[in-house]
Amino acid sequence: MENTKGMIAGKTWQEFLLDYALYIILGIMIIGVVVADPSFLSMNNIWKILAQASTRGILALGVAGMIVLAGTDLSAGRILGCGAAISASLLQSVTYASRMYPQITEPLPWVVPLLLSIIVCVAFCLLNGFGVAKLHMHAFIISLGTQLIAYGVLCLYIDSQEGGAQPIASLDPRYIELVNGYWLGVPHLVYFLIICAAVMWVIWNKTTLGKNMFAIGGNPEAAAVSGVNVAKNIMMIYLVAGVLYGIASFLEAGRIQSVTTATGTNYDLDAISGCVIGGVSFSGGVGTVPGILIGVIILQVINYSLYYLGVNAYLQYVIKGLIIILAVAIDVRKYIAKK
Amino acid sequence: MSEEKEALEIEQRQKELDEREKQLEEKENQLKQKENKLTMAKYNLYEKINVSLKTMNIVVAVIAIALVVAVVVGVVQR
Repeated sequence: MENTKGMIAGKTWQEFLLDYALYIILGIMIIGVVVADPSFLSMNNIWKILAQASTRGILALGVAGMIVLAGTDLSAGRILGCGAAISASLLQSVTYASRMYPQITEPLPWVVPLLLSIIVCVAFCLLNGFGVAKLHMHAFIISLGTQLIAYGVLCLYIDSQEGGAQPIASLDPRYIELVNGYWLGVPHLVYFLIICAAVMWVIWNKTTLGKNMFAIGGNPEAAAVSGVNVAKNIMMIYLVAGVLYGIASFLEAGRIQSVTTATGTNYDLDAISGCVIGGVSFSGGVGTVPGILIGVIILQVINYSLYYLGVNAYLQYVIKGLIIILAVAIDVRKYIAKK
Repeated sequence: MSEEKEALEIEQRQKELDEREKQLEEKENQLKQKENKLTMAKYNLYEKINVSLKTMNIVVAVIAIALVVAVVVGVVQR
């Protein structure tokens, strides 16, 4: 007869602690913050956290596809910066004297900058996808190169303004309202995140592309032998990621209302961390959309908690780095335990 | 004469059979290699990690403790 004494969810307490160490520590941290200051859980704060998490969440949904393919994308943040610069520059207030395009005297429909942002982001992502799918380069390397290219393009674009490299600000009030407004008491950004997450859930779980993505991430040789066009599917995943980056960059520009060359810095690390915390495995073939959302929200809550607790800004980097390493170490431990 | 012809025919057939056998052996090897590729554990990032579960448990525990210490230090020294 199996001895179930001292077992939690079918595991010994030691295994349980090790498997869920990250969530336990983060949970205790959040409880500590709430005890120290109950106003942390005010609706205003919760909406702020969710609004901040929204653009990062949409970015993470794109990056997650690459991680499921057993790759990664270090260029997501810089690509977002490029898209944000394009969106913001085309949606500056027409009454602002130092706007980037003074020839735009009527406000553009927001669809135009959104589409342009998506096109630019897709172009960068397809460059990454080509390197991975056709040239069989490691995603880490190709995205490292693309990251620098995207940063250079962003800097050149912002520097091309008549007054030099000044922040792209003074945006059209309607654009700001579209992004930062509220409907039924909930920020618009949260609705955008929910819509993107729903679409990605359908793609991941109900389409051939999603099934192929998990198959390729799990075992590319077996997928190829089963008749999956590996290169084509990888390119499609990168294309979908590009669309998500374009949407995220459009929303982020409206959220922060001032785009500079630093926009998007370290966003990719936040997106990757959110995916890892949410259970997307670097070994490939494993991940869920709800997990990604939970991971991103947890990361935002941690960021907010550390800021709320007044932790030194530099030490926050150390803590975030340890969180990522712990999440990956637990993932590796689970893999070894399964073997 | 006919016996010699028969012997030659048999020899030729034997050669053809030997060649056929070689081709089949080669094909079998190729199939075995493909089978190995599919059935052996997937080569991925984690395959390179050659540590025991016990060691990994210690690694996870140490990183978790480091995280807790970092948070406590951050809160105390604010």
